[in-house]
Amino acid sequence: MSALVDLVLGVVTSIGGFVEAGSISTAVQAGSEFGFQLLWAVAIATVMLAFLVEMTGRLAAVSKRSLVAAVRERFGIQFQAIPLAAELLIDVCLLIAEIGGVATALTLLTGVAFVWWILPVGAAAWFVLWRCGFSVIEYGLGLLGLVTLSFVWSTWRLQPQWHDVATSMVPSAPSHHPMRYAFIAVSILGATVSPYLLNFYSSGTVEEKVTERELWVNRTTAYAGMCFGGVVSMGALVTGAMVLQPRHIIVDSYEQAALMFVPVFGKWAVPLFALSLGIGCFGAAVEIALNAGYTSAQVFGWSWGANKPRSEAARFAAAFTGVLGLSVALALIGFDPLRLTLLSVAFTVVIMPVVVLPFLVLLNDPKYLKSHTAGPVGNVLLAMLTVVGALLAIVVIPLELFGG
Amino acid sequence: MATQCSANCIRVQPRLLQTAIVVVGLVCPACTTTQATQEHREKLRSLASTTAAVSEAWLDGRVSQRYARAAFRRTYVLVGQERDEIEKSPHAVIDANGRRLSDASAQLTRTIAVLIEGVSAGDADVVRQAAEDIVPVLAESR
Repeated sequence: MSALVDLVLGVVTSIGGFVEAGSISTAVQAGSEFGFQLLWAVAIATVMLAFLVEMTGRLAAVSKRSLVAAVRERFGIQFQAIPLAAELLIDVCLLIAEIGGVATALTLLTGVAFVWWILPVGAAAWFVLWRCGFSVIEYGLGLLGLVTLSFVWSTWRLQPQWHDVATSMVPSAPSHHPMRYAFIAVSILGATVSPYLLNFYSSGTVEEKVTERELWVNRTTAYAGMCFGGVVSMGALVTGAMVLQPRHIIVDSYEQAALMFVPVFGKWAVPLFALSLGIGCFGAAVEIALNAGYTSAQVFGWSWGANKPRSEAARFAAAFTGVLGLSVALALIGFDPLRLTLLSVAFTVVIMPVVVLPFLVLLNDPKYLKSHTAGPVGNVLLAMLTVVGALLAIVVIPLELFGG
Repeated sequence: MATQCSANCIRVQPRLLQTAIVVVGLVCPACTTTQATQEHREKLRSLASTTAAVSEAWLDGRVSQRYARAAFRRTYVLVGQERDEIEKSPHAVIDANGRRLSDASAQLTRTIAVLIEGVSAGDADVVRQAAEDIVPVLAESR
């Protein structure tokens, strides 16, 4: 019974926690500029994420180690130095973007200027991190995030040509601006397959003390939760395509993106968009800050755990506090939240091979996975991800320059 | 077109090479400029369309005064940035298309300023009248 409750909660909160600044902005930009044409990118990225999340969960449940802890143990701290630095840098960039997303949402709701919300949002995120355990953070914020289902509802109400939606699941050549098309496709991948999500999920599996017997829960949560979450992202893309593209609105700000709900939700459009953006970004901000604490503690071998009293994991708490404080301070200097989001997701793609390659080795090591090592499908998928990730890492900077 | 040299390499005739360089030198900046102008046109059309959409939604009572003001302010900043970008290029300043885009962006800036005032005062007539001024900007950026 408990496993079933965990399963339902896991799937539901995965849906609620799927959408954040990166996925909303890339999906809406894709829809407003290229119609349904980039739906395939969301679909592929979601399938990749589902596989990766299932594998990281399996690794954590069987080995009782998170992804970062296992990589550190298997390859040593020297190997971890570069991925750690890169991940923390990306965590800071993403955190600034998510804080910006919440601040923008509050501006849309209250009319009070964006900059005045940064400090309160940072303080609220820190309060949640300091006071709440892992379950409250994961399930509480995930359940609130179900408001993002409004993207799916709006798609349903707009009644797209389902045949066009289905055919867009197959990659096709862009009708215009090929560099921009490629840049947004890569950004969708970076926004969806985020390294922080993988370590956050595996650390959560360790925190929740998931056992080998509950691997089916992990598998179902990963596949069902992520795939339904992907549907929410697709909803944002389709709504953007159906409302903004016919008016030639290219999304450069969240204020423009909010307009896509107007035909469906009328007076509730802006509040619903703001709530979806705000809750999605707040959940992601808390998770990213927590992940920065997890990563630092696991690399340096400190005591860690959101469920532990903070005095027992003082350096872990100091790490997430430090990263959150730094992000808030940088956010106060001033930035464009949407542009920073796109920049951050592009950098995420750059470090993807460094994250996936050691994972491939670990998944084939019986010391960690016992009898649950990766099968041929898992190995082929991870090998493909490593190669594709390496290629994308090479092209993403030129694409950022010419298509971003 | 090309002559075979003794070391089995391809030697392009100097005159042809010079011509090619001159043609590429003339065409490439023109392409880049045309592409840049097209991108500015699309951006400006998007911002003008956003302004029109927000105005309509506010006049229909589907968005709040708070949102309309925030959206107009953000669009005002973006139009200003776009105008700076257009005027950064000396070519755009002397080129007829570039000048038209620059003028259209200046007009859009003024219209948005009126819209901000109109929405702040809750004056639907001012907003309706200003929204009509967006039509020529949209036409210019097509």
